[in-house]
Amino acid sequence: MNRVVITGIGFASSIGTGRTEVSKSLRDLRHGLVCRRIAEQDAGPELVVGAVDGFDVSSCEYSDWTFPGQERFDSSLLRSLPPHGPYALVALEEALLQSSLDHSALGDGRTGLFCASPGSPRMVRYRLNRLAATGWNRADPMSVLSSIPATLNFHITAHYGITGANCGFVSACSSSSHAIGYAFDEIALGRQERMLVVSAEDGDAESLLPFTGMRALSRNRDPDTASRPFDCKRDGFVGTGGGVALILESASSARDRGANPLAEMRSWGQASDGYNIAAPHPEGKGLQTAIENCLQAAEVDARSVDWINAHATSTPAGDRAEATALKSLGYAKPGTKTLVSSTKGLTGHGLSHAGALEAALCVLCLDEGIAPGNAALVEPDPVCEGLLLPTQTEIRDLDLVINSSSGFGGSNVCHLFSKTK
Amino acid sequence: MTVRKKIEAIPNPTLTTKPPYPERRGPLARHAREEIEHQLRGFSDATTAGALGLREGSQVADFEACLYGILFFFRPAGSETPDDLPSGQTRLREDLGLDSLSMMEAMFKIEELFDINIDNAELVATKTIADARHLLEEKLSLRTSA
Repeated sequence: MNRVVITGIGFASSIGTGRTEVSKSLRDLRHGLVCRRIAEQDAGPELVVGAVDGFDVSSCEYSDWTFPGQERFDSSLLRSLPPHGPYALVALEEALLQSSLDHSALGDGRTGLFCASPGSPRMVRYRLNRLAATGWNRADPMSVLSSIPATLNFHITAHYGITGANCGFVSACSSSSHAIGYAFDEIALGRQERMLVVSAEDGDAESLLPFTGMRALSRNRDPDTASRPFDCKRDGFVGTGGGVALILESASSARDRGANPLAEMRSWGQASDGYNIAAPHPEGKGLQTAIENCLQAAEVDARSVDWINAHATSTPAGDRAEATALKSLGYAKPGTKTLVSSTKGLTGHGLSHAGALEAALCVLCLDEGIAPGNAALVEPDPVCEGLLLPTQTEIRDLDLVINSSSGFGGSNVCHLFSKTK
Repeated sequence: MTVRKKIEAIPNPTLTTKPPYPERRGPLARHAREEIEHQLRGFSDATTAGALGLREGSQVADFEACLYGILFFFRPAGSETPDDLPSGQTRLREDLGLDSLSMMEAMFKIEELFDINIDNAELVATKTIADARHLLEEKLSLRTSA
């Protein structure tokens, strides 16, 4: 099995575009949330949502978009992208730069791409409305390309000339965590030397407002307290759009290129609840098994983990299930050193791209030696008793870090990262 | 990466033709003008002016500007504006570099702008500037006379 390291990360997120801004937000516990109406013409309910500064991709016409560095991208690439396309491109460019990977190296057949995109409900709506207006006689040629879940895959492989593995992953809110897990396997098994993992979400009215039907969104209109994982007063998640990219690479390839590994990915694990299409198992059984599988694969004792970046989205049922799972794994026992926090208190919940975003945050924190606190946590839910839930970011030399993800249907994924040796 | 050049100056017509609209129609209503400008966001000013002129009247120059502007817009990234005027024999795929998707985009844009339908056989048969020109002339004439 080849060792796998991460040589690049890139962010277009509610807490910053670029690693420097993101790091500062984590250290200062500065969230990226605002309260506003997100439907067009100021319609619909006021909601707290994540805001990705510097990007305006609210239009369905690419020619209206503005985003950082857009002069680098030709209209022949942009015109068939969904609104989350620019998030993905900006994040990927940062990750490639950090990894010292030139575009010309991506067509070597040893570099692959795994993505997670939910497609674009906004573009589906827009294109179908236009098609219907013509009596279903005249479809925009970009209708399919700009809206289906594979959209990031084919745009990025074609644009960068990637000739290795190429696949998209769809498992609701654990989609991008699956992408990272299977990218790890590609390298560990020697199929590819490096894998780009890219994930992004529109985070707009069409993506988020349907969740009101499940009573899953927070109704709290205060951006400072709406996303409060593990807190007694949590009442739902806060959605966000954005994009993230990671460059996974074999340790030998990174060494040969002289690339700087930011962290090592040691293992991953997954398991399902087999319980309900949406609600988590009340005791987080699937998540517990996923974490056990991950730790077992790396032959790591649960107690040696320094920080767990929890999936906790700030929903009553989800956080309760995760806290119960973590307690079952021994993280609430006296003498535990493992910190537990959810960066969603800062970023909001990125849905399908949450897992990759939080994996990239784990890598950043390992590299910089920080463990983010739980933003807005005031009164921990009693179910969390015994868990170490910091409320301030701690400067701490981290060695082992876990990232957990859970999606609808109890699709649970866990990653284990460590400092590079 | 090369930023696409806008086609600000459209070559003079190289093909003689009668204007597709036989009579001048006068200024468009504001909402119709705004709709055309909306549909052509990102295109050159000359393309938009050509489309507006074509809808308002029947200047040959407007026709050239609109058709060439749309076809040129969908060329591959990095395409240069040619020094020579495109001739009727200029091939859309081989010479301008339009692939099948770009051809469909260009035709869709023309369909939307002029509320016409171009079927698959017509699209496949459109291989040169002259073909595109004749196709559009025929469609607009048919619609006008209907």
